[in-house]
Amino acid sequence: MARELTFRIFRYDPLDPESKPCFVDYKLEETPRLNLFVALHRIREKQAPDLQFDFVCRAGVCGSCGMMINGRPTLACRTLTAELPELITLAPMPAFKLIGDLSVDTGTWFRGMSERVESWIHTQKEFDPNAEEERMDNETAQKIYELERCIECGCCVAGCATANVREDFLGATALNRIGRFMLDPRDERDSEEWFEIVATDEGVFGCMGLMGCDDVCPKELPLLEVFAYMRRRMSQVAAGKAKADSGTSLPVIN
Amino acid sequence: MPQTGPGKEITHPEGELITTAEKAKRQWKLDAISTGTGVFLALFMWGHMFFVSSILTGERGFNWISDLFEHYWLAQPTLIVVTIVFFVHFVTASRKIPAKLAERKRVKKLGDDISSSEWKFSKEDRKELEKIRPHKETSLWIWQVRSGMIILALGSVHLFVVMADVVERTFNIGEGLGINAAETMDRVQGGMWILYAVLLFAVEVHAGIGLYRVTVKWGLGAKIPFIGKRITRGMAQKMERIVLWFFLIIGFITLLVMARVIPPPLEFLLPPVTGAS
Repeated sequence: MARELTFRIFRYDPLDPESKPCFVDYKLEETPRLNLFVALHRIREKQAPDLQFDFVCRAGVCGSCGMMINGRPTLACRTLTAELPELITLAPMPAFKLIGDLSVDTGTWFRGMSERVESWIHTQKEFDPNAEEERMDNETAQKIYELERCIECGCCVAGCATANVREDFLGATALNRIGRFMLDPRDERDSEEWFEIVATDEGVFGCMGLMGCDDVCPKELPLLEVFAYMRRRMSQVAAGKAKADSGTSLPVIN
Repeated sequence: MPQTGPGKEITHPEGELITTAEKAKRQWKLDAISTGTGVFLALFMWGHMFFVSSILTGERGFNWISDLFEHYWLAQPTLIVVTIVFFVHFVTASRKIPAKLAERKRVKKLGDDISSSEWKFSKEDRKELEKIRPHKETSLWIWQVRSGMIILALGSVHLFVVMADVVERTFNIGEGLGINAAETMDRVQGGMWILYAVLLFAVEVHAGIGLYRVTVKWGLGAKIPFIGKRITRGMAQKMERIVLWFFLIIGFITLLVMARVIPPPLEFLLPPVTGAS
């Protein structure tokens, strides 16, 4: 006998002055291998045509469908209803601007974050389109790739108590991004420049160490390892070491 | 969002004009101080536990150690340094506690939601689908704040009592006995055991969680010297549990001896008393 699932979904349209935030229950019969992506589409087709939620790739790659599923921020497309009890509570991720219902604006946040941490290679070298590409050793490339796997879903920010209560806190994904550029030998920013961005209360030293980001990251990025590496390296900078550890203490995680 | 960038001048909340580099340096310093003082106090507490548990060998062992410390002027400066570090740690570490009640409630709610969110996994599934990781660290953090508050209150009382004892002996006030087993045991037996039991529990919980968090925050992924393995979260958790139970058990046995509930179990270690005292 298939279970009858109850989806308790947060409903609110900030653009409609008459809309009030509330939870509405929708019933749906469970089918084999049903995931939240399909379930939400079925609810929208038959029961709530105005329900807002985001999906693109439905395969855990695009990072659009982050939401609070029974209180835990994670990707809806990778969540099977079989893993959940009969009552499934869905809410939009906190710490981001609400577009409506389950949809939040992570784009603006990530754009702001990228500008703030200047998320691009800083170099004075002139680009020569005819020259052979500079080679990077394999270990460095692997370390960078590991951090580059972030899909910008925002789950780590939604699951971070510090980011929930302090708007100016950079958040795990931003620190991870900084870590990625710190490791990149092509980026010419020196330790002192990194220190100013990362060694503040908005950066890694504002982290309360609740480890929520690491526990909810759907891509299982080594966030805590990156932060520990940053703390060590920043302390070396503060101690006046000109040549701070440039990533040797960050393990390659496979 | 505040602008950051090399050498930019910004206004400090106290109205002072500083560069972003200076601001970062200050905030690094505050975090480093809270971590450093925390680790210092935790190590001190281990040493403290070791010396107080000398009561397990009987009153003579305890008195021998306290005499040694006070006679050679080891107790007096340690007391002053520890008292200062104690309050510096409180001031720097409490910066992390959100100021508003609503913010603190949010921290608790988010942590509770993540850790108790209902996912019905069988045990085999759970092993396979590592994506649902248990989350305990928020409630551990909350307990660290709670135990910290208890230590602030009860630890201050304890520091005052010990200081009074040491000052008496150092400046020869009253009987001038200093820290001694008989008086301490009378005190513990007379009702202070409640304070010490609560304080002991709070200190061990606070130090255990604190050292676990410091290890994860600063040491994760670093190679352990000589062993060559990299520190993992699981390793840090295991260490925390072992250390916590080790000191809790020793601590409570010590307290039972202090309250004269059980006789000192290690008295046989000391040579028997020769002649009448």
